[in-house]
Amino acid sequence: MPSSQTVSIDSRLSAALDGELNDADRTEMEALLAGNDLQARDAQETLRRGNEFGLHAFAEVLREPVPLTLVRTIKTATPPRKAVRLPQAQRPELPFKPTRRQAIIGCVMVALFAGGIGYMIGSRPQMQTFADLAMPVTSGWLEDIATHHRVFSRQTDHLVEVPASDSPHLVDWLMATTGVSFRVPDLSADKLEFLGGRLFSAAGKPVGQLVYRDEDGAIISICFARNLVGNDQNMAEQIRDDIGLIAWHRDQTDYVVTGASSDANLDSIAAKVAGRI
Amino acid sequence: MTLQPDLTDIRRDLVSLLPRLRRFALALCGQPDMVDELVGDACLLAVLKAPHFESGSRLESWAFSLIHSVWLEQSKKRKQSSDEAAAHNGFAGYHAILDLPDGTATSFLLVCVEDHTYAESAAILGIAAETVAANVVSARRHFSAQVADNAERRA
Repeated sequence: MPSSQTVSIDSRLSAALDGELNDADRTEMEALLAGNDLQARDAQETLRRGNEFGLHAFAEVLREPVPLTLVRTIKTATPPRKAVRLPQAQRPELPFKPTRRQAIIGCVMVALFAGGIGYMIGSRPQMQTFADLAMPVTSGWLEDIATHHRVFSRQTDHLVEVPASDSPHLVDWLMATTGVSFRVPDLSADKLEFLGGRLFSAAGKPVGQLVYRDEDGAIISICFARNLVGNDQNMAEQIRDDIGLIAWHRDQTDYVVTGASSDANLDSIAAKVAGRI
Repeated sequence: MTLQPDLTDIRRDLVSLLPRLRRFALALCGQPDMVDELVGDACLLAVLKAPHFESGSRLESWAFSLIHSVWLEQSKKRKQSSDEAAAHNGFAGYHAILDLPDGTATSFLLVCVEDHTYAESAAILGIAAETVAANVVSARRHFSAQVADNAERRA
């Protein structure tokens, strides 16, 4: 059992290590250590050694892999609904109080107007609407892309059809085949190395894919296809098991950034891609 | 047109913090099989309470507080039903941390590893700053003794 003086010295030496001493105490401890107080020096060495060992022990814990289920649980957690009711001024009462006769006249006018609209629409049954001309919505293309990513991202020796060294040919080829005009985004600031690209099919349409690899060897790809799904311009993240997909639509082109669903930076990468491709 | 990602929310930041949150949970509960459940529940709570998070403050400090709160809540329930299947992860091998005296691991982690002050750590753990300081001393002594034990074994 250490003496009360030792405890006191230990506490103050420990506080000194943590930068928690005031000026007077710090000066006193420095003087103590500068002198010939071997007990204080031993105590300081003991604490310093323990501190280093503890730092190392806790640093090791960070190397433990995070379970994918935990990542998915958090990434798919439902945020609270923003049901904010704005304060409203009390609604003024309408001074208009129709009589029975006025109400009947109003109803008849509404019926005549609605009938007229119905007649106009009914008399032109052959007219094609925009909805008739639009492409049918294909819901399964994200599944195709997730499956493709899952298969090809593991082919370390055959990740791409055209390597990054032949980028001009890759761009010409994918532009001609997919009908999408694009540039290869430079994501080197995000420590993503461009490896090249390939062509594949999703929902029966040609899809271009640009493949990148991060410093840990994980594969992230950008897929694009001409007018495949619709006109939702907002980015939306979806998770298909171990694959995360962030999709958006712009200028009649659908884009998807794919990577591991545990990648916390996938959305920021997608935002950069959207601005550069 | 400028595309703004609609996804930059607290969930991404929490996922980035997961290794540190799991480490705090391990130091807090000392039970490797409880770590992921504890962190998962605390993160879901953080997502629900995200509108209450003060932007500009440290998210990890807030998350540590939530883990501590959830742990206290779960401890009460666990006293009532202790027969639960234990999940195993790699944390069971960290004897140096798991063998620390009760309460000292979190104080050491917050002060020495996460660079919180005694006062900040005390606020997260709901204890006095003096207790935090005493816990840090105790943890340093314990770790130092482990160094000595390891040296003796090698000799």
